[in-house]
Amino acid sequence: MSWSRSEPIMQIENLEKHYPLSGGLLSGEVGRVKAVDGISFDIHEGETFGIVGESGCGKSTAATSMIRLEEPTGGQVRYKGKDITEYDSTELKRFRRNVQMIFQDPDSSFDPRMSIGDAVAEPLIVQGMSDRKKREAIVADLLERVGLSASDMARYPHEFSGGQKQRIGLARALAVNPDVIVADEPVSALDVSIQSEILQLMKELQEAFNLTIIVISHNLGVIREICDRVAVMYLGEFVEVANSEELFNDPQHPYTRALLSAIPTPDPRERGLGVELKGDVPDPSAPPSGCRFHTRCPEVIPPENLELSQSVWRDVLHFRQRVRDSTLNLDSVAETAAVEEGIDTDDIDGDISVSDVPAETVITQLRRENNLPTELADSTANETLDKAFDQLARGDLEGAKETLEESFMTVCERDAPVLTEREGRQVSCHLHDDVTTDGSMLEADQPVSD
Amino acid sequence: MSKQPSQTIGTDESTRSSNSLLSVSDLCTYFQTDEGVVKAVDGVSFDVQSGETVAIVGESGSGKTVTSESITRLFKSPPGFIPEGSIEFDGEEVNDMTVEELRTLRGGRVSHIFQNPQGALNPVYTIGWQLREAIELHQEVTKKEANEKAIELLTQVGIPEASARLGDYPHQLSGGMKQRVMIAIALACEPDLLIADEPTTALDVTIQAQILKLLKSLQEERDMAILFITHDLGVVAEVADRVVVMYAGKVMERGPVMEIFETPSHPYTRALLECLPSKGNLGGIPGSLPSPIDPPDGCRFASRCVFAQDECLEGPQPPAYEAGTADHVVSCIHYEPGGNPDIVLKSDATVSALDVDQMGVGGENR
Amino acid sequence: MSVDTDPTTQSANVRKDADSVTFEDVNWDEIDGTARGFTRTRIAWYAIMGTYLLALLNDLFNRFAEGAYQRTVAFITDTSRYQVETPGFIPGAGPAEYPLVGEIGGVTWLWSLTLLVGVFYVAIPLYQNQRMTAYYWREFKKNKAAVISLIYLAIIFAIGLTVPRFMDPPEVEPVLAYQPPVWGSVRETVPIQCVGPVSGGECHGSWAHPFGTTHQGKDILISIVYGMEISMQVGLIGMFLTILIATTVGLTAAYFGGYVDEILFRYVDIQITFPTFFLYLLVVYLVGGSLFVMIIIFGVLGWGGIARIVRSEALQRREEEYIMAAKNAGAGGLWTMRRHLLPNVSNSVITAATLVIPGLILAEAALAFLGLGDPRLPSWGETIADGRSDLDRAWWISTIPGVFLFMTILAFNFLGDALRDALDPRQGGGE
Repeated sequence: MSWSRSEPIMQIENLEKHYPLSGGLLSGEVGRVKAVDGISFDIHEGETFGIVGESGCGKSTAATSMIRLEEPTGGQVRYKGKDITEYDSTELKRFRRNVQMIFQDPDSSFDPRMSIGDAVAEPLIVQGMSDRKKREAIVADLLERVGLSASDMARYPHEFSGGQKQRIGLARALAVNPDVIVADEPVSALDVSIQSEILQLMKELQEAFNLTIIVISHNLGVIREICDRVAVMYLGEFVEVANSEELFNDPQHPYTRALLSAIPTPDPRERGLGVELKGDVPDPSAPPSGCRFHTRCPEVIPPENLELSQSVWRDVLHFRQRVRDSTLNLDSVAETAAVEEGIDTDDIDGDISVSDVPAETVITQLRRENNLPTELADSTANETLDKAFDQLARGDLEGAKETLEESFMTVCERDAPVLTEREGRQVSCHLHDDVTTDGSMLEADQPVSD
Repeated sequence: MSKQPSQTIGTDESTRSSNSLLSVSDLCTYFQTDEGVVKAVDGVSFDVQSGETVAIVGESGSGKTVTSESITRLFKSPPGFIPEGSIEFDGEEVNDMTVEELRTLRGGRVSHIFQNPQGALNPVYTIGWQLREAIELHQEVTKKEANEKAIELLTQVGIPEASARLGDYPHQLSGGMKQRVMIAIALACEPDLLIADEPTTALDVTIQAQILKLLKSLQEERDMAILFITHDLGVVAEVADRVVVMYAGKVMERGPVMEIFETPSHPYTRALLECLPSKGNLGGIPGSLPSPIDPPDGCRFASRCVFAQDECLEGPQPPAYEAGTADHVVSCIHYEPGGNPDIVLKSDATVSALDVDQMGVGGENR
Repeated sequence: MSVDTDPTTQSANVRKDADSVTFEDVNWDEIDGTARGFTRTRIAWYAIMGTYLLALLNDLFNRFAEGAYQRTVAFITDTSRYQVETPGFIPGAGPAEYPLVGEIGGVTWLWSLTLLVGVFYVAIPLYQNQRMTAYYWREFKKNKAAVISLIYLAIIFAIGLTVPRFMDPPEVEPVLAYQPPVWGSVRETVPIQCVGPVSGGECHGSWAHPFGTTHQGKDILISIVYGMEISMQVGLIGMFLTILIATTVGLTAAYFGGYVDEILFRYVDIQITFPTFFLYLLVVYLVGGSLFVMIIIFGVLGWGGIARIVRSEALQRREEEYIMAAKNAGAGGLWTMRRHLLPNVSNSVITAATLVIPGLILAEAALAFLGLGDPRLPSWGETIADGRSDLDRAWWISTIPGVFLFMTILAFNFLGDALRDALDPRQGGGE
């Protein structure tokens, strides 16, 4: 075998999983959900690698497509030097002996009509072990190793608690003696006290069998507990990859920082939950341009010469985003304004529109809904904003769009940052561009030509 | 000199109940099943003052959700029933209320929000319809007024362009948005008490932070009391003024949030805090929940407790002894007057330091 | 004495007996080299099915192969109708004769297949998984009506299966017409000759004909017993064909999706609009009423609705994590469908099956009543029809088989309800 110890056991290169969005009359493809959009990492034997992110960031899809439980639409996955994306079905079946997965939901990951013994033995049967006695011996041994008893074999999944089922899940994954285990949210459905039991068991098993583990979780606490290295994922891309210790002590990417600060600490003296991330994860079928996080980022780089506090700048950007996406519904703003101001709307026929409500009221409401103060610190910005508000109050959404588009352009929106290696860790953020040499920033400032 | 023994958990509230918004004492909620009577809640007492946040914390099977459902009798009945105990809301006994009075109470002065906003919103109606329904059920308003009120509520829970959102169906909204709508519906009748049952468990941390902040600001605006049910001690530390720690249908410890986190006194509370991932102590709490049908004598936690003595396995659950201050009570024999709480408080022993294997890793075996 | 008794031995490294295997010991390359083994039940199943198929092919060959060309030509050109020779089977050069059982008709071929499948896929699994069976039984017996129904159906089934083997079919004996049942009586003038005692101008029933006789003098008890066999055959064979096709089509469509799904279910759409009843009428016109044809037509064309139920149920199950877990183990489509999807849609399938059976029995009775069945078969419908013109004089002729029909239909419905409740392992016990 050409594979040597120093080489990674698995290498994932530019892994992509896009789902086609069909629609329209002829069921043609109208778009693609880029669930996983080019992630790369290496993982070494005996290592625990974590992937963390919010729901909808594509981390579970990453897990299933990197071991071809779902077919990746692009990229390569090498296991011990061999590209598994080129395996035929026989090779793939054999590959399942090397890499196993444990699943998130202990309730649905076991067939309710199959006894636990049969469930754990399933990989053995499927892989061709026809000796029933041998299988039973293996299953009995496995169940005992994960802390259950061999007599549990005849019982059915509903007779076990969530924690026990997750133990059985580990037994099932171990049955074919794999080298790598991919664990998708292994403890998120469990109570805290049971969570730590399962994590402890995973650690013990890892040491006993020199397992390589990939953990997918939204829970940074869990990741911190067992991972050696961590990748933070946002909308199908890695934004930061670092050693667990470094990532938690000194997060570099604003998203990592926001995630960390959103975790409630079990200390009533430290209340406040840090930086708040506004809004939801954007639609992965139409990810934002440039840095995908810029629509929610609390640290977006303002254009030069703009003197605004970060929070006001963030609100301005957010407002601009809504105008651009036309998620801002002017008539609705007007109606809400009318309700809030107690304006009598009885004599208006049909739906209320912007023209029915005084411009000032609409502007006040717009400012209120978007958290924008009446006076901005930066005079240029103030003028632009006032102009846009006027246009909006007249119902001219397009005009406002243009006004805002020109003046508040940021590098984060224009250029996609690249995951770059620095001091042993990888970060993908423009905040780190200027730290490198002059060139990159200059380049970034040039307007994009189509 | 020494600490005065306070009375049992069941009765020590009697002196305070008159000025509490909600006063639950000795509440038992049982469920009739084929296997026997499941004692989901078995003698629970606590109270909630107006404008404060009380958190009930416990693992699954602790009876925290059933406790919250008992307050407005939301649990399914039969098989559920309340054999004893009293629930006083603003001086009125809920257990004596008629079905009609209960209906007025629910969604009126007491509102619920639940863990799963997807399940709590009806997928076939627009959110506007559901909001208006909530408003019209308890208030005499015209359709137009209801509409305006709905817009107002959505704006208050941080949903922009409220009037446009009224026509949306639940599936068009994200999880966080749905939970905001649920909160708006719960607020429709200006409740004095909001019962939030794991409202953020199904959400991402970032959205959880948004919702927690929202609840906090709403509480300040409205001087509303919140009864927060959760298993997450981090969330408890974030929102609670006072904490009730439940285990196997009983209250183990109750006190102000600072004291619970700074001097956790019940061995169970201490074990629970040790289990937090950030503590770096893995291993969980060895052992399993006692049977809710036939609970053992003595302290419910005794079989899993590091500090258990022979007396812990006898008689009823220990009464609520004071631990430090009058407001901080612990149901543990070591806090009995003349007892030595330092056995627990000064001990470095944590569950993870135990020989886990001796206790049986698969201890949650039933 | 042994080290194993050391109480501190951890669960994770319990000492093993010398000959026990653990998962680390497995040499997978060696396993890849060995052939697949089968369980004894499986070998028995293959042996029996092999014998069955050989015998069936032999029979078919005997019936059709010799002179098949001539008969086909004759069928097309000759205006003379086919004559029905053996009950329920289109005639050929002559059926094969088998030791012990003699000649076997079409219905009997299907009936034995249905029973074999029942033994191997219902009875033996129930016996092998006694724990699960006991659990189902505990749940099932909560429903008292269903337990009574089960006992009733078991009796009907057992009698229908055995008694006709050694009892002659009811015979036409006009002299014995209109005998009243043993507990009843009728005016002396109604029967030609009263077998029982006569008193006060009334003819009383006798034990010679406990359920009385028809206008042709056929014994109703014997007709009922034969009717049991026919009803069970119609219901169970029809159900077997329906369920077999419906689950195969439904599961295949759900598992593979895409074009497979599209093609299969566009076909189902067409089949559902197809007038099965008229097809049967046509066949009756061509070859005369036949139980075999009836069962085949209703079994092979009546599965569309159930296939749809199976498909939609299987589509939901396919999204469950255990399907992914099976894939993760390396399982292919057939394994996943058989071991995971099928057991998990069995709730719907069993419910549907228990509704198919009474439907088929009723359909057979209705067709026989209308005179569209095989006139020589004493099915319940036939007997009911026999008595329809004599309701004023001899109420028992139609009523007694009617009661049996009614009770059987009711029992299947009760059974279906109880099975649906009992077979769901997710409810009760676990929570």
